[in-house]
Amino acid sequence: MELTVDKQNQVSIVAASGKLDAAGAPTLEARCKALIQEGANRLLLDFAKVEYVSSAGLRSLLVLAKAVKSAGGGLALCGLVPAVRDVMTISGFDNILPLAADRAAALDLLK
Amino acid sequence: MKWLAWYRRQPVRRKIFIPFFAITLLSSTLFTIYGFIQNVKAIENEIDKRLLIAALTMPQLLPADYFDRVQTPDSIPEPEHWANTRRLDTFLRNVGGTYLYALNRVSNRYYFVASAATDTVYWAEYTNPAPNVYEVQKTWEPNISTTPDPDYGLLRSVVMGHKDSAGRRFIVGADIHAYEVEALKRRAFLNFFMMGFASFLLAVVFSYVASTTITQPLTRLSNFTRRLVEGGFSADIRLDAGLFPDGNQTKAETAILAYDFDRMQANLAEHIDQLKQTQSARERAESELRIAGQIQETFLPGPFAPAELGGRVQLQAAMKTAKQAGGDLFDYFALDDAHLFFAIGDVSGKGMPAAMFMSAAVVLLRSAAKLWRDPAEILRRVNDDLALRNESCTFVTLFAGILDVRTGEVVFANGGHNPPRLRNAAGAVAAVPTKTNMVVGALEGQTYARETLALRPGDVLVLYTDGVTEAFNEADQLYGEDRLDRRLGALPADATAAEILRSVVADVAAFAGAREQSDDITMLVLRSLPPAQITT
Repeated sequence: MELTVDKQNQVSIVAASGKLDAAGAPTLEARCKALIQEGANRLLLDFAKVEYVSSAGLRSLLVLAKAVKSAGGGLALCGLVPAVRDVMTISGFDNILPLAADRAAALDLLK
Repeated sequence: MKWLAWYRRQPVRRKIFIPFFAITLLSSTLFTIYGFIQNVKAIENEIDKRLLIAALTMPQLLPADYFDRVQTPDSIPEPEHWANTRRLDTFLRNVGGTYLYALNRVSNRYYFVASAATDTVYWAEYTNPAPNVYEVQKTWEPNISTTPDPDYGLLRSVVMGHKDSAGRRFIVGADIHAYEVEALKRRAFLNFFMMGFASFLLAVVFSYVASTTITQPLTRLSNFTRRLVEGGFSADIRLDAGLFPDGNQTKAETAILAYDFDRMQANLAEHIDQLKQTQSARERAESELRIAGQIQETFLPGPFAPAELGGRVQLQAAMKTAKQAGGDLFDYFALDDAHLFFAIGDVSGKGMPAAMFMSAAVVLLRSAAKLWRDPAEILRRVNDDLALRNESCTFVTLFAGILDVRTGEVVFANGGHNPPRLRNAAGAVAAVPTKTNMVVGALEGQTYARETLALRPGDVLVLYTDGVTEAFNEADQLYGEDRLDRRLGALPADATAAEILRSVVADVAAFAGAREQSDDITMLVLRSLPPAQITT
């Protein structure tokens, strides 16, 4: 799991690439938690280059969603590939996590 | 090279001793030979000098006018001759020669005019003169040589000229038997040999003692090491502190080695002790994990008893766990003689946490199923129970259904699980369309949609976890829904639930090949029997 962090209008944009599985999830979770510790409470996860999300990855997303919520902010995802979008739909995560087509739409959701 | 290899195999004591021995042997031999040769030269010089002195001194021992008088056979009266002989004899004994004499040559014949030999009369003829007697007459200078005398044997000999007052020449000689010289040389050789041998013995004894003393601590260390190894590195086997009396305040390498060895052994004993503790802790943990796995298995139901439901359905479920303990689950039991509860689930994550969560989930699920008999309500209850104070956000995807065997109606709810596949009697396979609901246990207050599907006679409902469709092969490809559907579609219409399950599991295994299984593979196959196959 490769991560690059960017900041735009007080939104921390984390672009991930690779597999968000049992091996990759702790990396994403630790990095985002560090951002939240530093005061970020609005997270945009750009998953355009994430090819696979496992149940361990979903768990991490849930942990992060709860963390930003208790920090008074929010979390959104964008750029999901079809396979990952299916996982979100099947697991019902699309009901609790805002999914946007692209960064601009996601930034609107986090306003 | 063979020699060198042999030498390398020898103990240190011998390694030191052997060169010592060789060098000592060589130097003793060389010393003896060199000393002997030098001594032989000295002996020869000494004898030559003595003979020369004897020959030079001889005329002085005779009366002053003696050589003027010895011209004829009767010029010296016998008493005077014998008196001279005795004097010369005494002198010769002191000097250490064999013969001392003076010759007069008269018309190429040689006559003794003086001699130390008590049996040689005056004017006795020297009938077979030695070669040096002729030789000396060329120069009259002292002639020193080893001469074979026809009558007296091999001699070391000095001959020289002597002039009387009128200038007449006489021959004066002093001899010693060659064998006497040889005897002196032999004695010298014996002395040197004895001396050399004694010094050699001394050096050997010294080097033996030295090599033993030097290597003794090493030998003791080596013996100690062997005892230590044979004793399993026990801390009770200690090194004799006498090997390092000054601790580490020493420059003696063996003492330093022994000191460090002693410290190392103390550390070693400590580490071994720690290792044993760690080992037993790990064994305990492993055994606990094994027992936990066994306990987890007891939460899964036993073989399906078809008679309970009038023999109208077949059900087969199986779980093939991955190496690391996982969190898949399935359950089924008859709620009454017409209703079958069945469920499948997959806990997020792996290992011990997932296994524990699975245990809680399956127990809650079973009791909720008995109480509420409605899959949507069952999932809602289980979700709220699991989500309560669930800080880790671990969750389980659950598909739960209740089949009415009389009508074939399945009431179900899907908590974030992959949709089951449904194969009809004609062999067509499709995913069961389900509403999407949140996974179970993650967030409190979720509701789950209640849905229905019809299971007609001959239909097969296949529930599975993503371990099936997300099995990877060696080329990093997924097994996927398409392969699953093709496999299900290819099976004969009368394939039993058990046969269907075995066939899919085998297909997944064949697809994965040598790739290690990364997730639990779990399936539950429910088949509604055509009326003709119902046995009871």
